[in-house]
Amino acid sequence: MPADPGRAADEGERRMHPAWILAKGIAELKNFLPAFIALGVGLRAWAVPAAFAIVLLELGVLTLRWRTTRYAVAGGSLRLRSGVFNRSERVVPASRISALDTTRGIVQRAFGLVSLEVQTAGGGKEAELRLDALSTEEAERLRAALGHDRAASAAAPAAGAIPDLEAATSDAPSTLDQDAGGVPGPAGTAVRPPVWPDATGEADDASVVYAITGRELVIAALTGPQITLVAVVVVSLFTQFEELLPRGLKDRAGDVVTGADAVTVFVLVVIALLLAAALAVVGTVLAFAEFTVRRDDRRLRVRRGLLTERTGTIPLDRVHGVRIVEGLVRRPLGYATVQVEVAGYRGGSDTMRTLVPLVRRGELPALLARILPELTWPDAELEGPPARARRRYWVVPVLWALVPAAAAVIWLPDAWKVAGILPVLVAAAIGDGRWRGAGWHLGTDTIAVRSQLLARTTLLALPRRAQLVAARSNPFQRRAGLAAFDVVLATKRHGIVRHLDAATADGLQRAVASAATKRPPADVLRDLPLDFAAAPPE
Amino acid sequence: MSPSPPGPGPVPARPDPPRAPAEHPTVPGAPSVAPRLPGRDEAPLPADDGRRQLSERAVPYWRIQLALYAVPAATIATVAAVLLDLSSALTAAVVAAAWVAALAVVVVVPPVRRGIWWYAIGEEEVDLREGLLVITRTVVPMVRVQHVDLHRGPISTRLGLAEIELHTAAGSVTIPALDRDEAERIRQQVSVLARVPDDL
Repeated sequence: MPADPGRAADEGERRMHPAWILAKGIAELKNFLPAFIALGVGLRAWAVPAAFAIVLLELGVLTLRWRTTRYAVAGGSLRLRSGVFNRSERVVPASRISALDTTRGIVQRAFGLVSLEVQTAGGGKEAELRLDALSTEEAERLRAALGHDRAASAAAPAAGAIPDLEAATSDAPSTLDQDAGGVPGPAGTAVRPPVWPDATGEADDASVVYAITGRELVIAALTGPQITLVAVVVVSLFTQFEELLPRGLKDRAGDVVTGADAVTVFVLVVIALLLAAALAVVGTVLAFAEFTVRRDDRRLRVRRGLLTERTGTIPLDRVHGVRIVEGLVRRPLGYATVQVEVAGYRGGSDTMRTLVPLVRRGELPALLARILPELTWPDAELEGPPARARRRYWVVPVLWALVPAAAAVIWLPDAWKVAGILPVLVAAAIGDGRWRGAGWHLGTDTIAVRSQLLARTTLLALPRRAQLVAARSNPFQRRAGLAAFDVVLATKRHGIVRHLDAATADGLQRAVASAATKRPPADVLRDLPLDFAAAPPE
Repeated sequence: MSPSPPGPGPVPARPDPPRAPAEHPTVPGAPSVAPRLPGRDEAPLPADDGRRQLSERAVPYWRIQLALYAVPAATIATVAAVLLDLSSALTAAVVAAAWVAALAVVVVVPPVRRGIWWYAIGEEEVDLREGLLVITRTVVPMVRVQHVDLHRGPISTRLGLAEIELHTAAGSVTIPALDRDEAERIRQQVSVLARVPDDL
């Protein structure tokens, strides 16, 4: 048994840094918080000793777990053995590891450690395996041992490290493109200096293609989806309470809340919502602070976070597209968010998939050309559905609006029945927005599909990566010669344009299908591990 | 191994009734960079030829399946109408309507569905059309097919039928009610063609 844990050990087996106990303990005790509060209420004088006992027990268990958890790199695999009574062992072959990501929480920062997350192809939402307390040198050693160090990433032809941005935009080899050559992006004008001390020991040869500014961070936090929701609720509460509600209903609301009068409840609700909004802003700032994207020959590295600092790795050959989301608040202000569509990526939440938290719409094409030159932003306006399809975009929202409209007419007293028209008008406006927002553009090797409900979302994808391509029509559409076009990516993301001209939908389906069915060129096949030559597709 | 599928090439397209003839939509005012959408003759999918219908026994198969739902539903409606103690005329009307509707569904739906269905297994893609009211045409690139399933249930086994399910990373598509030999042939053919590894 090694005397000095975390350091060189016999037969290569190692333990993590003892701070693992603290990091894990804080994470697990968070779950006990409600129990602690209940204890405090129930036991009163005994609460402190009881809580102390629980913490001690937890520390004891975690110490045992720490002592029995060991990892090693052996035979080209990463092996993790753990368990006090039920021993378990997990082996991840290095060839299956798609990325080694690092996270640094508060505990890790205090001890100068990193948490290493091992990502595998086709993995679920969680990392395949994680080592929560490693020294930066140890993490770097593991990287090297598993072939994910900077030497490996710089092994590609353009070996000379290119620290400046312009070179990266014009010379970046197009990893996504197998048939076409690299798409020359417009030279980056707004060069942001690559600034940060490299504490995680990440490879430094990748050039910075995006870094968030303080101003963008603040605007992103203030226009985020959560805050929009809160604002809408607060505003509607105010207007409803002060004006819309008829007197009788208002009095009854007061009766329901016995003791407290309705105004107090109302004020409390508003305060709670404002607090939630403030928390949402702080949360966004903490999550997206120091957001930086770097790119090398094979991958994008996204680094973000203030208290907990995360790095994520996106292999370029798994990028199937990006989604440009213009939210309800951001669109009028001319801002958008960019999310990336990565096959087999654990990014479950929108935050994890975010590639650019905030960008001015005008700067989007240039920024995209810097980050992902393989995905060319359409240089022409998107083509929308035909004018005769316009009313079809209205029908569904208006039908839905008829429900609250009918309720208003039935339940509201006399003059208030007029309010029933409101949901219908809103629905009509939404429907018209859907028609104006819908559109498509087929480029030489990208397809843009735009749709709108409240937010306007543009899916910019590589047609040759399409998984399914469909054209769909109901009897009404067939009578009008219309059809919907639908392309599905490996991320299960759909790009749909409803109510297109049937011939257009057919043409789009043909174009995307023929791009997607092109087989990889022979040299790609030759490099693949499978014995393809043994099974000719005859 | 398996019969060679119709190869790609400029084969004359068969008429496809429910679709308007493919014309090139003009892009008003757009610069010439936008490529035109290909029409049927320019980018013929191999499946424009070589379309196949489902087995003739798809009709009885679907009839049995539908009857398994329609008969209990009509029975429940009958019992409910009797228990509700309505006027005898109304009871008779409800019962008659329930059974007529059940019969109509069982008689009408299967042949219509079979008339709409076709599939084509090309070398490069699987192309199929399905639906009843909403008609969907789906193209699955062969390189995206991850694996092929062949399903048989008790009814389909009796009728000598089987169902093929093609799985991709984005979901699966199903070709139902195939003759068992045909299903087996498709399974073989697709598993050979889909062996081209994807770059996913």
